[in-house]
Amino acid sequence: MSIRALWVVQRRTDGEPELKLSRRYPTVERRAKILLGPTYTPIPSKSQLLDSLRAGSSLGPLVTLRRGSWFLACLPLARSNSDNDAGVAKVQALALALGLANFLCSAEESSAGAQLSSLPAMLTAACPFGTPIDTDLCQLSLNRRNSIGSGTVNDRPTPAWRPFGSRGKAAASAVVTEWVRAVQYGRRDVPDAWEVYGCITSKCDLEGWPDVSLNATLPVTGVPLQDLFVHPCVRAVPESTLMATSLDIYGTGDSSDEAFAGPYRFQFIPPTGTFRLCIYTASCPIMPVLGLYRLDEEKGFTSRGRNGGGVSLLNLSLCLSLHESVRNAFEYCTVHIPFFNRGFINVKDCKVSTGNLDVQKEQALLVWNVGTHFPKSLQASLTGKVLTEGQTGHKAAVSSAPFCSGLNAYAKIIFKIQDYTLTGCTVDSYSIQAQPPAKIKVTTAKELISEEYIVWNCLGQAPVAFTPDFSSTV
Amino acid sequence: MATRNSCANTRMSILSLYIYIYIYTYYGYHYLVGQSVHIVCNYSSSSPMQLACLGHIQEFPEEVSAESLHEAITVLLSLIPSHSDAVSSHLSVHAVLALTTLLGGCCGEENDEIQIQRLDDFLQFLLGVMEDCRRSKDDLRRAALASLLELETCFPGLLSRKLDRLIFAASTPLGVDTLPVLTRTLQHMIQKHGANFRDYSLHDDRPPNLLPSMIISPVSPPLNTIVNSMTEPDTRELRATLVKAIEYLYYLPTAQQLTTVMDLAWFVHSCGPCIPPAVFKPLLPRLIASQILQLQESSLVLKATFGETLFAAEDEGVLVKRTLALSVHPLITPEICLSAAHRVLHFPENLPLYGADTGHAPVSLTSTMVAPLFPSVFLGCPPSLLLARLHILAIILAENSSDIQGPKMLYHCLEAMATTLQPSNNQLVETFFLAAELLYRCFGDSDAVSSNMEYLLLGLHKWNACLVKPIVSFLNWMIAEKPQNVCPLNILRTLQNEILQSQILDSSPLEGLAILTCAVEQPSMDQHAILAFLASSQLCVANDWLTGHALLAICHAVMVQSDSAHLGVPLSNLLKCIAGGHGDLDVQDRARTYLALIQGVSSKKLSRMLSPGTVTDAEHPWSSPVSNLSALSDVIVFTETVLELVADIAHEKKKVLSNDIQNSHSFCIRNGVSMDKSDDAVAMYYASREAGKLPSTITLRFWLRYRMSASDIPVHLQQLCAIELRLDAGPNLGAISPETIVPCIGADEPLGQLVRLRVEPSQARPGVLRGEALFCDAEGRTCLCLLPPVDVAFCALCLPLPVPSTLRGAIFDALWNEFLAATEEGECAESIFCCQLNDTSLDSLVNNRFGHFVVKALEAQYDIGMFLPPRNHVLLRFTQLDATVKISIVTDCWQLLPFISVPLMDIQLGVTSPTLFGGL
Repeated sequence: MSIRALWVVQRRTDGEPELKLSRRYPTVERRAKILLGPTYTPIPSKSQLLDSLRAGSSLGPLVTLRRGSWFLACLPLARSNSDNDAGVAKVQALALALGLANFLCSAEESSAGAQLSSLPAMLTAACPFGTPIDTDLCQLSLNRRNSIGSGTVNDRPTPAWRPFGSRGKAAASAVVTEWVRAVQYGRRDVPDAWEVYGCITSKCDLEGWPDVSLNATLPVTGVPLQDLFVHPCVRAVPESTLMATSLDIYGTGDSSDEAFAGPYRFQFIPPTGTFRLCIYTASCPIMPVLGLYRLDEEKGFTSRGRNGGGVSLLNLSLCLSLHESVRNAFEYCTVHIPFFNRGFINVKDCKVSTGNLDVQKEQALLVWNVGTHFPKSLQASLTGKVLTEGQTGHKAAVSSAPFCSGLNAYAKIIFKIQDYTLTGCTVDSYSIQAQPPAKIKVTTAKELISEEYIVWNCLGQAPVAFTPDFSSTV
Repeated sequence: MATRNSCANTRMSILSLYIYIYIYTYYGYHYLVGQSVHIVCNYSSSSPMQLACLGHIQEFPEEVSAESLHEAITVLLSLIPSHSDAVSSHLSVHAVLALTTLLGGCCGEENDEIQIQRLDDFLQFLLGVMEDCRRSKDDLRRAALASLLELETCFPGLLSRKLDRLIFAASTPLGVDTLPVLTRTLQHMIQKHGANFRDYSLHDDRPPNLLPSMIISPVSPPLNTIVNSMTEPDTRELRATLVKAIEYLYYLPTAQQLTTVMDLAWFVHSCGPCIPPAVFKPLLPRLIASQILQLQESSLVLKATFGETLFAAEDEGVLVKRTLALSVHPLITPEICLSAAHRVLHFPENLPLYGADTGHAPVSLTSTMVAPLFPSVFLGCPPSLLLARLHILAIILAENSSDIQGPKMLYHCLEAMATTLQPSNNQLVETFFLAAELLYRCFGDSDAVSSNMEYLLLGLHKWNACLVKPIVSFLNWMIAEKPQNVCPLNILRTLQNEILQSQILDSSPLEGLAILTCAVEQPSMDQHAILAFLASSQLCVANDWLTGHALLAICHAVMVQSDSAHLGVPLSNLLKCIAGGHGDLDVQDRARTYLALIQGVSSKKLSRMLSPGTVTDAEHPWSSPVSNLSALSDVIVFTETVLELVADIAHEKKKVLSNDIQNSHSFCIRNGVSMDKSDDAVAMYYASREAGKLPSTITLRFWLRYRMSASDIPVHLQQLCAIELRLDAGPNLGAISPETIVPCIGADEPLGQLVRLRVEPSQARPGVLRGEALFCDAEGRTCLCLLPPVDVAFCALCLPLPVPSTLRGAIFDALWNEFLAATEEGECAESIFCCQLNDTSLDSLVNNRFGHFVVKALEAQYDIGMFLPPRNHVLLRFTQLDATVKISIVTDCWQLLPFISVPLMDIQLGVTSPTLFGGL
């Protein structure tokens, strides 16, 4: 259950790995020698570790993690893969590495140095002897910062994530955020794919160590939450919420009739600061925005550009349709239409039914700002012609998307709707209560955000995932 | 007088802080830890330095020598209870951690009564902190509890005599955080004393046993260990305590919840029927609902320990589904998803947790449930996670034998992946290959897969260099495991034809030759064509050693075959081409040897001679379910640190104590200069200094020897050959003589082999030599072992003034005056140091420590001149004033003052084994 050593490495701007911190645990090492006997091998040296990083190879039983420019490695005390303790040690090592990574990445770039310099002290608190005590370094750091001047005494058990009771005006907030990602093909032979998932984020500035309860509810037409996982501060959730998983859809057909539809009641002692109370997925039957993208080369159009590159004329058409049940009030709604591997672009006779169009020639990108509302018809369209001129050596010609050549192209929709969720999930502001009772200023909100919302050109090719059909086996 | 002492103390503090920084930077940990105890003890006014030293003791306790262990423990113990303010409390925390590490990491090799007494004192202190309710949230309490837990882990049973105090502390609301210590202690007591553990805790007055041991908690602890010894009220009380403890788990950090659940589960299991596993029931929803890795793991630990006595079929179904759902959740980080996928593969059902390397899918998982595991079009799934998901899919679909659609589904899934494959993206191509390999391993017998595997593998971009080795290994595996399958031979044939008909060998010779080696091993392939093609290729006359050996590997593969007589002519043609035309002598020699062999020995005999031993299944590189690309690379065996470099102290002592030693570096002023013309000599010296022509290299002498006694050296490491030392001297010591080869070393050479290293310092600062040794062991394997770091001290960098001894006085005087005049500005500095002579005379003091650096010796004054390559000097003047010695220091580099202070402080502290200048 222990860790023999750990390393924190940062990849410099020139690509070379640089060891920022390392820690070895002598007491664990002594146990390792007894436990492993003749199979004991020493801890890898700094040079071995850095060499393996340079070569991209793996080093023995190290648990490694990459996050941005950081590379974290922990060496768990493991006798063999089948050792029960070793399995737990690997889990602890991974959790510590994740805690370190989150801590290092939580700082803004300007304060990254300070974050790094506080790391040894944090590590001493989190894992003084190699057996992790607390792997949530962000929370630990927040608690240490808030500990100054906090002298409230508690006569009840004190949770590790809230060692000091705060003082001040009682306030609580809960925000439901949902993300939707979709890939639309506009073809009958290929089904579209989409996913909806969300989380409830909360912050409770309450005196002492209150037991807080909070209800998330769904309307009658709401979509039940699935795969709901909660923050470790949550003491109790209804057991029925644990039963709903996305895996059941294929097994028993549509299980939504019997699915638990709330209210989802959470009881917890909140940690200091903002935290993610729960995360979930949902099998929503609709996509909020449907798109149909057609991009075709004008036949018979041949020309040569000024720089010798090929010139082509493209007919472009993109129709968007907002689902009638979705709130027609966007914080923003923008469509990005990139033209990869084609050089510069020039727009000819492009029209949009709503909003405005911005042409970024250098980036070979059309940006359609749809605006904050769809028209009453809930339809919006963009039509026009685009002249593309290939130019050898130009940065736009060297694409990061080699698949997107010829008619293989896509449009990406980026939007955010406030005060709306696809599942209908809402935090009932009257349900937020604290024990011992207190007058709390409650704030609740909800929002829907697009994430990787892609519409592929229906006249080109597109990456298609295999969709299993279990109808014959069920 | 008091004021003077205070000033002196302050100056000493500042000086010692300087020393600390420099020692830390340039000497490394090892030297520092040795000094840390003195620093902690002597300079209590300087907290930052004490904290730093405590940190080093915590990380390198083994560097505290056995002789000073008692002293170190006493010093650390004295630091702990005497501080109560905020800064000192911080110091106490570090002292507690350092002391725990020192006790847990170094003590107990023998039952030392003093150590046991100190440990008992320390335990009393820790328990006192634990019971102090006012300290419920402070760092010292956290450190004390962590220390108790660590000490109990290091010395199982240590806290058994304190059980009642632990139970009392854990039963109070404020003592929730003592729960991990209590459960660990209970577990160890039952493991050691079984049913009598309670009596043992009450009546044992024996001192703790400090011998470290390792108690491995088995997955299934001994059932009913203590059931018979419990009365009904006892049982009720114990059960109530456990229920409370399980309720209190909520308040612990998740990392401690996992370890405590493990310990509690072990304890409850050993209680047998008197404490049913159902006490954990209220805990399960919270564990299963959590998104945190450790809490998820806790639920599996309970499942592994109690099985169906705690988990009904429904609960198990929920656990499996939620673990699987976690592995595909879009808001969970890929690492946790991967961990969840591995937990599904090792689900503790009919087998212990982590019991099977090959992986089994849980029974309650049906093929329809795993549909979300099929790769989606959305980005963000790293290769390892994708492969883990495919692995689960393959196992589930393979186990469901009635489902003939499984292999087809997976094949179509791979086909869909192939449409987005980009040849330039090595990672994607590798992942795809591994996925294809996985599919073949699970469904190789299915027509739907085997008939299309050829298309899939050839569809891969064949000359992606990263894939050649795994493809070759995979083909070999397919041929060995499924000999009836023609697919691998078809693939090989296609690849071979491509190589022979195109210019691939020009661009990727090693990859092409690897494929041809695999092909030539198959009698059904056209071996004639391969050998003839190679004999006419340009590779035979290349200069590259690697290519030459790859060619010879092909020849060897033919010679190993017992029925290779018909290949004699093309094989000898190829070998003649290599022997006559290849640019590498080693390759030529081996080709000639092979040629002699095939000409003199029959093919059958040759085959028997060259055939390798049978490889058992366990050793087979493909025994794991998913191949590891990195494992296929050439193997260097990492061994424990068997060798070390040790400074040649005897030589240095001899050098220092002999006054007539010749200065090999006195080349900047030759004998042509008259001894009378000292002004000329000084001018010439200055000119050499300006031109940067003063000596720049230093030769260091080390013994390379075994680190352990002869009896402890493993048999295969008793004789090491061709030892190549790869040393890095760091930025200060600058360039080091290129790779150093020691021909051989044996366990019967206690002194080892002498190694001379020439370093060219870039600046006059100490440093550390780090490195590794590459060698051949007795079994012919290439091994790599780390060498312990070797400190190159400041003193080792000092040379006598690089002029003939008769001119040193003049040079010394000139430099002395020059440096003194320039102390107000620039780099030059002057410092004064005083110390008591005690019982020694000035003469012996100087000669013992500065030997051949003495430039002038008058009645009560000695001048010492030291040159530090590449350009600096340190000049010392010892003047006796009654029983005191005044040492004036003048240097042209003020940064050197802290280093020269170290040996001078040795004099002040009366260290009997002086630091030798010019030595290591």
